[in-house]
Amino acid sequence: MIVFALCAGLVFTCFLSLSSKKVSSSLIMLFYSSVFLGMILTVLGDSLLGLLHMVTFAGALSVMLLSVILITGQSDLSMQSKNVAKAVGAIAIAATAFASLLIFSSSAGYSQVFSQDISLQLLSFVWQYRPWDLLILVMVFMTSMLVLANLFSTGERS
Amino acid sequence: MTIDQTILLTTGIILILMGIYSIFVSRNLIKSVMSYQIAVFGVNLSLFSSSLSYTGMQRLLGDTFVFISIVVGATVEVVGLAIVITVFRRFKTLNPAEIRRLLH
Repeated sequence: MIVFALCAGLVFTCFLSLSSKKVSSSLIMLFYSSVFLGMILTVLGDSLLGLLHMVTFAGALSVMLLSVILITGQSDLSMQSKNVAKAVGAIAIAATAFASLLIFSSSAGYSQVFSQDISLQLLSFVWQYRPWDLLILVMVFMTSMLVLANLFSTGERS
Repeated sequence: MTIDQTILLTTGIILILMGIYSIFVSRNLIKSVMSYQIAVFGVNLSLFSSSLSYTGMQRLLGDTFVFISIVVGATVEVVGLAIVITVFRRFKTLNPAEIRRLLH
């Protein structure tokens, strides 16, 4: 049921990304679809692959797409409020710091829960933390994408 | 084939078809690159669904295919974005029809 819901969310965000007329909105929806696919891989037991997918597509490539959109002058969002963007950005940074604190304070233990995952056994010296904590960290990073697109958007700002 | 595999494979095929269709239909080169990324998502999902029913080294092989697909897909997309910037600096537009008209 969870996999079906995540797949439905993935198809929905991809459809919104392709059907949107604004390139900036397409980028945001594409970012969310990357996170959905990473969550699917994580839920089905391959958390290392899921996080690699999120870091690659939702992290690096989305930032690169954002840079290309800004260079070519295709950013046409009008969020109309820079203060709201700053507030949401501050909340995202605070939540990220809190999640990081949780990860580093509870780094010991819990890794045996995921010992059935063969990809984690190979990199167990790297993978000392719980995947779901890192997933929460990435999801908080996901919210900051909207803020980034908002800060570089055109239109009225208060 | 389990229910999860069926769902993943169906979703992967839908994403591949959506991506390929949008590559040909899109009137913006950046959106074409985004459509390619969605097609890569579908390929990754299909590859991952094929490795779900296996365990051990066979599962690891399927995961390795997905890993290679992620790396190659990301590399190709970066090259595509570089081409988009080059085309924009030369023609000052991202519309493929307009670029084709300016070429002739």
